[in-house]
Amino acid sequence: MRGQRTLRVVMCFVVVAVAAGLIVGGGCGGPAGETVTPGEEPVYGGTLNLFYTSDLIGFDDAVRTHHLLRNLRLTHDLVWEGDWTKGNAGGYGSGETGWFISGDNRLDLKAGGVVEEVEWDLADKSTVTLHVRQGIHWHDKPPTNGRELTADDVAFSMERQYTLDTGYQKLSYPWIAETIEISAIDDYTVVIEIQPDHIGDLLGALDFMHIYPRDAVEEFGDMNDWQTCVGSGPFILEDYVPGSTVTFTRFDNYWGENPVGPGEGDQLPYLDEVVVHIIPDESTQDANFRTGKLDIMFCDWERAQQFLTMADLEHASYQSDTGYLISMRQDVEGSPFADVRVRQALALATDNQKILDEYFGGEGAVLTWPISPVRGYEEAYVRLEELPEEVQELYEYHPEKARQLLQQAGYADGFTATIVCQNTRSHIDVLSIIASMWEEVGIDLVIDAKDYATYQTLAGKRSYDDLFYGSRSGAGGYYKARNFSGTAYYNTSYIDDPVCNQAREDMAAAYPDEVETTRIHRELMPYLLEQCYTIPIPQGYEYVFWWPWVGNYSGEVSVGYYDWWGYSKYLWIDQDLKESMGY
Amino acid sequence: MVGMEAEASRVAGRPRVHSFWVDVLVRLVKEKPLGTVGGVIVLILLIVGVFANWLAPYGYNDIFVGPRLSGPSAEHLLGCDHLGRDLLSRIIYGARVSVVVGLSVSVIAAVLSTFIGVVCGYIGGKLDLVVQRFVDGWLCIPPLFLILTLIAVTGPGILQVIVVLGVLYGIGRSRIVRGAVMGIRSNTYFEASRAIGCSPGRVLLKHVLPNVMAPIIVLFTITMGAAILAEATISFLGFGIPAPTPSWGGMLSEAGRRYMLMAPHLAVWPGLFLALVVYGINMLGDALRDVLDPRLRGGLGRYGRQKAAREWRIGRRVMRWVGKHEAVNK
Amino acid sequence: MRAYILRRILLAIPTLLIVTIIVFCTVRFIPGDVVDLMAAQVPDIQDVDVAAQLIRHELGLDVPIHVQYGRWLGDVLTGDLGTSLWTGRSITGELANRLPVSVELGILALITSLVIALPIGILSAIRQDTLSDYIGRSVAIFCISVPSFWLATLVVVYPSIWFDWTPALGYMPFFRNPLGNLGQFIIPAILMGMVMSGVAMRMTRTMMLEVLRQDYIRTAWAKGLRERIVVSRHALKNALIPVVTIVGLQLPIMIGGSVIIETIFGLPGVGRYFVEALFQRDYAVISAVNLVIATFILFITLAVDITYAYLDPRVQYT
Repeated sequence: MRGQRTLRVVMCFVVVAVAAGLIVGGGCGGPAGETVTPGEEPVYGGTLNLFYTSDLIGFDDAVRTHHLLRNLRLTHDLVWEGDWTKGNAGGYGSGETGWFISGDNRLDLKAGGVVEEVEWDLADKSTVTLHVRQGIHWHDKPPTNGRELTADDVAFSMERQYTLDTGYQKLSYPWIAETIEISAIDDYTVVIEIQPDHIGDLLGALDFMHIYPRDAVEEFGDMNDWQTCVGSGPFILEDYVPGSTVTFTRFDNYWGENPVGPGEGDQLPYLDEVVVHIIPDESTQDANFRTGKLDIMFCDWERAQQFLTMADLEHASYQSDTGYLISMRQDVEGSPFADVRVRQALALATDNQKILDEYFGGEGAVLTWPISPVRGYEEAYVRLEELPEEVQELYEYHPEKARQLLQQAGYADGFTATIVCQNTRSHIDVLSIIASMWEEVGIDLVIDAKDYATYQTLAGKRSYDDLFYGSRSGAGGYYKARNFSGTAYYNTSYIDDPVCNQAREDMAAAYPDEVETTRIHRELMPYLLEQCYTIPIPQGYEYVFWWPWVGNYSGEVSVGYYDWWGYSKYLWIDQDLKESMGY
Repeated sequence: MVGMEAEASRVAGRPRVHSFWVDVLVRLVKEKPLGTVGGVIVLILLIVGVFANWLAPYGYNDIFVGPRLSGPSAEHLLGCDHLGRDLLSRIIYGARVSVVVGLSVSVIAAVLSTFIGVVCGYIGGKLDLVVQRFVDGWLCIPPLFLILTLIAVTGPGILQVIVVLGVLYGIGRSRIVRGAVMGIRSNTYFEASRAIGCSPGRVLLKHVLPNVMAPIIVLFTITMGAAILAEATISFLGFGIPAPTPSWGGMLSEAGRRYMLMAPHLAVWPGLFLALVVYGINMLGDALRDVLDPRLRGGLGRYGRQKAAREWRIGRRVMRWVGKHEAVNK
Repeated sequence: MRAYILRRILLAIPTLLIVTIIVFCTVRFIPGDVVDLMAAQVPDIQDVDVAAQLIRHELGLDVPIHVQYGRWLGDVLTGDLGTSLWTGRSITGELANRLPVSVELGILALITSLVIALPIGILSAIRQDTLSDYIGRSVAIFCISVPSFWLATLVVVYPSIWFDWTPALGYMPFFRNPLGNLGQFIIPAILMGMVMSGVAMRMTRTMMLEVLRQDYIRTAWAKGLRERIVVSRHALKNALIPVVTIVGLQLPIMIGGSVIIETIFGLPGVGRYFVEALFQRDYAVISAVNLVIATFILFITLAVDITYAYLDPRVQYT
């Protein structure tokens, strides 16, 4: 008996010891040593560790949708992208924008990608000329083997978007696809002929498609296979372990140069490697960022609290461009929501300030529709204080007035309404709060939570009976008026208002004159808000955190129109600082 | 053996008039302390679940009745969650959800598995062959995959979760019931009752069912615990009972994990009660199985003998003490 | 004996067929399909129905269900599991990368669960209804009462604060880096093993109890043999045969249960592949994964049954 026990004890000890030894190999971070002031000098080398919540979907944005393929920003170039120097750029940029919002499509903030200059004439909008940059080379992989990128590649790539059945441009703008003519008139010039009123959608597309080599596409059919991935971007796709890691290494012959700051003129990129870790779980992401294994973290204000206590980290906060709203079937006759009084009553019954304070941490915006007050789009937005009294009231909390309006509309006893939403915490929590507020005025809100795929499908088809909880189009597309007119799924309330439709046409005609389009949008807002077609939800600030060894970074989220990860080529890693801090 | 003598003398002295079930209960309490603890836990769970409306100080969805993420206080004994709802109330209503889910799933599973098991085991032959292929196939697919696929078909909701889990466990457990039925088929009294011309229904009711009752009851308790845990698991993956319905698993997997650092009490309490309840159910199931399984009664190893001897000695001491007091009180 | 084995193998074939039908049909009943999901990514999409039709035709989704089933079965029998509807990648290739992860996790978890369960089970049995028994069983039951995702989250979050440590990121295949790989898998394996050990522990205890009541054990006591000899030489062998086989039958639950561990620790295993495909309505992946795993389990079950029959001469060949 004693022998048995001893044996068991010894076995346990051995197992624990072996396990401990193996675990230590997993990765320990030492205690923070003495911190050195972040070096301002650019440094070549190092690895940037990013993370992503889901697995990579594809490698060709003419086959899959562009904004789902952020990995392409590392391996490929766009026609044009956001101008890094107009952002904060590590403290050396002009700061006109923070590049904090995902969908910034302002034409005056663009800089060239493969194209040095985009030329068009405001008087005659039927021709757009692209002057392709000289000296851009493809990756040194078959079949391009490092050859130069020419206008033919650019024209070919654009053509694909308008001819392939899966091309985003063809799916969204088939009328443009029918009439557009793209031709490379010489090695460095592409001329595009379009109908004049299509120029808005064309210019908006230039930051939304990547350039592929003709010979590679013709050889492989499409570029959706990671092993044949060839681009002209700053990094080469080295390895992909599905579900785990994606490794990119530096492309030594990249055309880009650091445009501003102490490293002006340096050949980009600085980094040796970018490694993207696929980590589906939030807690795991937080833990790895905390221990220095991830370099940059984007999160909401609540997750930010734990990082705000870490003195070593740098951070920035900004008004998020995401906006959620409750849409309603105001187009269905006989539905309570067809009556503007009912819609206004619902708005009056919603205590937005309380939602902002209690659920979003107090910092943010109450009025988030049709766009939010984000940097760079202030001209298109009318602040709450500047709106007429009656409209301002709608965003305050007046339950008695709500009850009055409901009574006038014939719903003195209230009614029951079902709202379709996704079965996630963020949707259901907010709707629970609103349901409790609307209960005060007699509205019984039933929450119908759907799973992700069903919800997305319903959103795409705008298929619901009473109410729908969803998001809106970002600020960057404000001039397309998708949130309050037309058939895009962002017009979830089926708004068909002649005033709105007129504004849409005016903006389309005025674009690309953004002074004019912002004016039209600003003039429309008070009328639009008074109709109360939707109930927008307040939105709080979002945060970016990064470790001090990430050089040249000021918290940029997307340098251009859905250009996540595009900042990677400007960053450097201060290895010495990282080691001295013990990571 | 010493213990057996004591029992034999008791039996000889006084005829047993208690029914089988009371006997089980008595044996449970006397011989299985852990099982009794489990039983008490389950009983408390049932009471809290049924009387949740009266026990809970607030509603389970009363938003902002207290400060967000606050700790225990006089008005809110367990604190408040991220929407200012009273955590104690949500835990109490969560008990109701656990009871509803656990019991419903167990009932559905028990009925289904009994039906399939008895029919297949009794009739046998071709029907048994075919149905067992289906059951075999069903058992080959990982349960979690099957649950997730089926809930994707039905959509999220408490009824859907109950039906899916019930059907899953029902089909899965039918094997065990069938095994028990087939074991009985070979008994002589079974053949005898058929020989004297009892109708199949009577045979089923009087002979088969009572004898497979034991495994069914044990399965019932096991399924209850498994169902509650399964609900917690699928809510982590986003397929569970949708909020705001308070299920312990849901509270633990969503708010509990997100606020782990800011407000650990949001996870500690649901997790504690969840573990406690599943523990209690499992202990009860274990004890019931021990008590109901005739093969495990009497006859133990050396330790058992020592223990029986010890009990007899304690029993004697107690009798002497009682005798002393009786003598005093007389 | 040979007849028994032959019978079991023959019966496995219709079972497998039924598995394919269950797997294929349940997936096709899931509302919303991958095409709708793709279309939902393009906000301005015009002519949704036309675009959807084209894509559906390309993906082979526009023919009646029995035709789809026939095609799929034909492909599967020739070894082609299809391509993912969402990523276009070959499923066979993907599974070849992901199965080793889940299998390794499963094997390590199995070993861990046995290391925990066997000693406790044996101890509980030979000291039935004493304090050791109660403590042992309580520990085992508590292991399975706490949801695995909770334990896993604790293991990931708190060490990152207290010790500035997190489990390794980035999957290291065993043959490329054996030590790193084991270090990465040991903690997830322990967590999974803890959850599984509950069942194994009770099974061990029950089997030991049953065996300890046998006449030949009583004879051993009567002979005056020491407890250690009685347990290890006589009881253990006979008790463990059914235990090992039943633990082997835990495989289905194990493979399903790895989903949570894989999600939290970021391991690219089959479980995560399945759940992500389910979210995206990727029918091809869901059917293929279910089929492969089910076939795997079917053969393991078959092997276990035959081994059990071979080892235990008392079993009836029903």
